Amino acid sequence: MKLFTDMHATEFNFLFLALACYVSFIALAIINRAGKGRTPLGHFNRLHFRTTVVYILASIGYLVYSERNYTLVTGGDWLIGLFVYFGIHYAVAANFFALAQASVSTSIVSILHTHGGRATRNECMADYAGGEGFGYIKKNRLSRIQNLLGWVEIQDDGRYRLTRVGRWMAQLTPVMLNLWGLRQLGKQP
Amino acid sequence: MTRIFLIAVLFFSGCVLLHLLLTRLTHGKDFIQKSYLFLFLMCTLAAVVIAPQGWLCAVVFFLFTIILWNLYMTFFINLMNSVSLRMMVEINNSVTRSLSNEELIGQYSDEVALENRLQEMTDGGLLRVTGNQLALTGKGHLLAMGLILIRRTFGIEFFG
Repeated sequence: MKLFTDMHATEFNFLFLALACYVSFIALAIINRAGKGRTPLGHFNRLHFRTTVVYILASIGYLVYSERNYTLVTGGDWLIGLFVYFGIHYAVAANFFALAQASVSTSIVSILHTHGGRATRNECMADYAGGEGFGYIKKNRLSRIQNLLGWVEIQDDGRYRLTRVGRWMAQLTPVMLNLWGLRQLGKQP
Repeated sequence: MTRIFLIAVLFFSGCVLLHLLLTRLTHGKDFIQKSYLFLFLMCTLAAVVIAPQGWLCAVVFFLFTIILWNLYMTFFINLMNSVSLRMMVEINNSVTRSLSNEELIGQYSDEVALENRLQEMTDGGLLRVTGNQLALTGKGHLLAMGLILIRRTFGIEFFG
């Protein structure tokens, strides 16, 4: 059965362009030390978003240089290239970066490793986040969902309340997990 | 390329439906490992049809499929493990739909959060817990070295 008839390698040009741009972004992130500072993941993602302009400019350059006719298929291929540029980032690279920077479990692994592979619970909690302690997780995550995503707001009396989008997300979470027969970490089935 | 993409989306949608059924049947035990094993088996089956179309088409098809599947997995791993979502669910489930900092700590204390992680990591074979003492396994040390490599590559100094 022939699914893809009359295909030519040039049909994948936007894909190759997207992959080349992504490799350039990774090189830039390494040269630029994207992991510096207190919000490395945010810095990494912002740099990725900004370098989308490289893909856009390279695409324009390719279209002008190749003198291709602009058809709906060209637009579709360009969008697929853009999907790959963002997809590789958020499906692969950003996950590894987050694992190395913002994951609770891997941070515990790193603390244990610096202690020679052995530590007590209290040592782990005290050494968390460069010595800020385990309480840093809640403080950091709440400020992130408040400032970055706008899902939580602080009332005048200092209490945390969910915004409309935040409520929607909080309701969607158990619905989706129940549908798949899953549960949140630490919750009883 | 659009045709390959559409076929990959169709294949991915079919995989998600089958995966939904399998996850419900197995009650989500070893979710991540089983999900990637499932993808591997489905891709092996798909390779029977895709491979004869030419190596480039096959590579592109599997690239699209893997991206879509990883996005799907990232979504569910976040739903299960995210501390942010856990706190938001606690706020939403409270009587007044709002919580003070102290109440939030009471609902989801640091000790409980740590125990949940330790249990997950013990199940994953990354560490051993003996009383109050935590010890990394060989797999845990290997992961730690991989993390050091990523941190050094990108200059990550602060983590947690």
